[in-house]
Amino acid sequence: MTAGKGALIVQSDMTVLLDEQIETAREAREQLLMFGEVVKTVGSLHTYRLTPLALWNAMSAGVSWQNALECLERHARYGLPFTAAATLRGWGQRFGKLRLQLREGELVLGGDTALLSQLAQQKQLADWIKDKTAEGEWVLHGHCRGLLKQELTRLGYPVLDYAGYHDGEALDIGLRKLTLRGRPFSLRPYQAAAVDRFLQEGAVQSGSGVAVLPCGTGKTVVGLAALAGVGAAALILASSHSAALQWRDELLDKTTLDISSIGIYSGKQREIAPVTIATYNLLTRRATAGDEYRHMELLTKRDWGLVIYDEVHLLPAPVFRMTASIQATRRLGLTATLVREDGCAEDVYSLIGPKLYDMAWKDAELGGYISSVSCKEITVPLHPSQRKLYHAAGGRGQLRIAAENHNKLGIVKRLLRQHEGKPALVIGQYLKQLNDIAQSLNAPILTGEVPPQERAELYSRFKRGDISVLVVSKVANLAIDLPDAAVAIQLSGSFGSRQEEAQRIGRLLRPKAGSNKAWFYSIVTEGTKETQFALKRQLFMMEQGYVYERMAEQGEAEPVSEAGRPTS
Amino acid sequence: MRLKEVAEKLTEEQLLNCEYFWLKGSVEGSLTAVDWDEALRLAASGKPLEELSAAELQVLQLHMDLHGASPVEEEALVVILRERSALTGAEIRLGLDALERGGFLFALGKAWGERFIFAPSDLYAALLPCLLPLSASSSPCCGDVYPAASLQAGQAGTGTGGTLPLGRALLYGLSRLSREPSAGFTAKGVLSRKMSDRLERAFPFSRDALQAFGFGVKEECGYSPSVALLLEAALGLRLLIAGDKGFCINEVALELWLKQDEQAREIELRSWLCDLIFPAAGAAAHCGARMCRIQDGSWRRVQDLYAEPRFVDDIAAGEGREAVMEQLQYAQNWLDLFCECGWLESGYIEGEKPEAVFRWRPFSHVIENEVMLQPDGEILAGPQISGSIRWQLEEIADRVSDDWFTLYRLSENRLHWKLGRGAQLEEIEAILQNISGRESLPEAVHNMLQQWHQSWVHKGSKRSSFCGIEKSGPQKSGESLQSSYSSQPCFLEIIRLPNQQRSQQFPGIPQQTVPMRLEQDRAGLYRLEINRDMHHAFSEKIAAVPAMWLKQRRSYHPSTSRELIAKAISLETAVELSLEGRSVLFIPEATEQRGNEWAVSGRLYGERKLENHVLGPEQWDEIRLVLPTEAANGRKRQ
Repeated sequence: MTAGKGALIVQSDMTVLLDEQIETAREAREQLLMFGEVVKTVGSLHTYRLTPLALWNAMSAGVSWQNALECLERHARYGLPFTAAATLRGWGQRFGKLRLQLREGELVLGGDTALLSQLAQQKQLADWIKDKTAEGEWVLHGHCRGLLKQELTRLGYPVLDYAGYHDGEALDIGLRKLTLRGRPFSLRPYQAAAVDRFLQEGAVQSGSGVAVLPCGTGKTVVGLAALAGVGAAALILASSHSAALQWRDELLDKTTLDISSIGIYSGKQREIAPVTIATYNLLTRRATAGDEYRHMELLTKRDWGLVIYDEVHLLPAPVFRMTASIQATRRLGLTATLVREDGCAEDVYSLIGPKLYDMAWKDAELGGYISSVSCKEITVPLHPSQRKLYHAAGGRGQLRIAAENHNKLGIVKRLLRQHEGKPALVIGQYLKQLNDIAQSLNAPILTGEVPPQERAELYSRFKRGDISVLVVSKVANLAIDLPDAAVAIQLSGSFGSRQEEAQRIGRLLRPKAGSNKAWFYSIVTEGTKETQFALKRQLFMMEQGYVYERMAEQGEAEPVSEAGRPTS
Repeated sequence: MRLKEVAEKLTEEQLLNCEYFWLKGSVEGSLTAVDWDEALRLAASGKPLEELSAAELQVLQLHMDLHGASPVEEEALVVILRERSALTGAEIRLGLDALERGGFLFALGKAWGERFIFAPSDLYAALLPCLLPLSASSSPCCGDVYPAASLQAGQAGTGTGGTLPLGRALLYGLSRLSREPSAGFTAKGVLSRKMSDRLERAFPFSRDALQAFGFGVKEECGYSPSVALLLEAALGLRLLIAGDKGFCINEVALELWLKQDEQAREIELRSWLCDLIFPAAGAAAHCGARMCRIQDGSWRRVQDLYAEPRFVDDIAAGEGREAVMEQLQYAQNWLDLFCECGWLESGYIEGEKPEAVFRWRPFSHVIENEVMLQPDGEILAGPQISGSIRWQLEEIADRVSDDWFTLYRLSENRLHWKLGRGAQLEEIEAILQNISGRESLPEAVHNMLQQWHQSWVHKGSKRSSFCGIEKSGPQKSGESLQSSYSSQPCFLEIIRLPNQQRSQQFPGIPQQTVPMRLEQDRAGLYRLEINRDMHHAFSEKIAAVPAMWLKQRRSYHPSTSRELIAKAISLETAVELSLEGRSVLFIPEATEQRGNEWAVSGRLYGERKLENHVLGPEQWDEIRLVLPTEAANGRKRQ
């Protein structure tokens, strides 16, 4: 540890390097994470990026741009480059300059008049302006509320939306004090805080926004409480049919709604009720590429007072477009990560709403709401039999060879021995590799091909402890009914998906009896493309304060068959 | 040209006979003993100016105000200084003579007798604050500063990163040249388009920044402005030599250059650039010279760089405003140029009327080798690393981005390139270990390099016949290098004078281009002129004048008056007249015949300014010839 030097090196292109060897690095990191995003955390010098969205989200949550600037100035080793300081200040000063309001039934964009007249030159905005007031405010066409916010955010000007919401069809709903299953129920403090922000009249985040909570901390409960607070018919959009069923179960268990008030609108059932749970899949289904999204009319089919977007980081682009047209309806996004692999973060901000609550995973861990997960990356050399193939292969081929490195099996076996008796998941991307490993470990395998009944049977055996190791494919990423485990060993994944890594770790987060500890291992082939992807995958967890301990191993040689497959 | 360069071209006779202020006190007037930085500091203190007479000082002030460090043809200069001041021709000539003898100004002689008067660019910059002080002091300003071209509607307003400083770009460019097999000349004697494009990518530079000062790229070389500037700078700093087949790196000079800290390298380049531009910029140089005098990195107002013109007595108010606008444009041109070179940041302070401000970017003046080698093969190099480490990094890794920290990445291709040129893997590993200050390489990096090495071996491990461009090491003698430099090409030329419009009004501003360096005068038309000792010649002329004409104001017969007036015109001096009972100074310019009468036209000094008058001999009672040394006193009395 070095003392006396600043831990941050702020570059003029808005990247920030954090020197982890400096005494004040931890303090600097904690502050930086409030308004910056992690890009890379390799070695001792970690890379972060400052973006307008990250800053505006922080400002929505109460951090001022002056705080951000002060943090950078305090920790910067070489001072702040002029362009970086000015850019950050510029972003910060834009926040709050434009406000949408509803005045005598008209949608009015007001705020900084000089800015408004400057923006009026933008052709793409002109069509939405119906009239201008004497003060230079814009009277807008009612339909453009979402589109305007989206476009202005794209132009670099966030809009604070105070135009309010329509009430929607009234719904008699309350939260139970004792769940249907007979357990006492109340909101945890952070859940209550998130719901309060959503319901708080007049605040930037009220009525629309995104609650970011770690996996396993009860995001669904936040949704239920928000629904009870709004007291209106609601449309809940879930990521899969099984997730939709879990929403229904939770509604029945923890609210006063009965089954007749809840409808499931998915590929298998098409019910529309005061509270309707639909899947993204169905909403975006259409016969051919040129067809309309027929099921999208569900968004306007009933007078919804609230739309809940579960796993909002997965929201497909067509749903965003439709969301732009329902800006007068309250919207709540729920997610464990705001990271969008498709670059649609701006749309989440402008169309669903700003981040209204963010709970750091480490805070949840400290509060005992989730288990304490130790993350380790184990690097192993490529098995000698695969090296020639690797050098001869193309990009994707190389990644697959690295992922299917035969040396990984020995490590898996050692780790399972180390954690014997603890429920463990071995997770991977490639079915062939998973089948080979399942065979070698003599463990059952769960893939998308396994029928639901057989799957349920596997789950219950795993829960009971009849089987301690389950080999799973990517179906495990979002299978909410997957039983909790204490150990997860990741063999491979979808390129550099940060979401996937977070979801997989999420499998371990349910609080554990005793020491409340869990272990996540990622086995990576050193010196190959896989190392780069692995680093990218870890970013979100790093951002949440998790530190990946890195270990290099030589690999435990496994006999290899003539076909190149481990035989043991 | 800089003072030192000029001085080195002076003959022994000149050095012995003149009283150069910068040579005083040095042992036996020897140039080798002169501390040139000290000489410039002395000039900047204003002390040498105290030795000048009022007329000499005014000549220097006026010449610098109008022409900066630009060479001006002597006769044209006398004409314009006469027009723009109350000085007589003799005062101007003797003043110029004294300034040449004192080492403030020098003359370049052209083959057929023309003389061009000029001040060395660094001496000009040092003297400027004393000669033309500004009423408004340039003090640091405070307030939030915004980048000049940011925060407009429709822009995402993302930080764009800093502009690469010219010194670093030059280092990268030279490194690139040294690595490229295509760095040789084409049949046209220039770099190939491919090589030129590569250099350009290393240093994007706007054509406008140089064009604003009248500079363009020589058409025959076909380079872009950035490439021309990089090559010109490399040649100017003698880091590169143009041979017959291609460029050659001067290894001795390069080593010394790389040893300097970054601030020293950038300031040396800035001096070089000013030396290139000042002689061509005339009065436009003032803003640049004033900017260079600012030592710290605080924000300064652009408007503090210029002031109302000092010599506007005879300029109408409208023209004065135009002159201020011109100064503002000059200031903007310098801002643009220095920003393009990555040395300056410009912005504005918000207010009722936004104020344009600028500041010098800080560069490191210490060397601290902060290099971090990451396990994924990325190398982060701090801003204070030495030039030689930067050079090594350029050779062994790919540069990904450049900002405060420069990001390099080890790559298979670069390793293969380096191995192909004879390097051993162990050698490369040792370099990495050494520059990152580690006891051993991260295991992942070691493994990665091993794998790449194996794949190189696997591919057949061919060594390239190209081992970099020619390098002139210590084996090349100083003399031979000197002769190489005397025939170096230049890629930038003056295509248009920046103050051409004004030069049409004031013909003293050079109309033709004088070579920026004597070495570039291939035709040998120019030489440094010896001072002609005008004072002695003038004294001889005065000795032939009747003593009474000088001693006492008297009433003469009109024919004698005419003779006296004719003598005054030929000596370019003034006469003292008794006019309506008052004693006035009159500078006669020409006599004219009006029927049987004659008259003299000239300028009459009255009410503290000159007025054109035509006087007949009947209009004055008494007349006296005034020596130049007396003229100043006469003006004071009036």
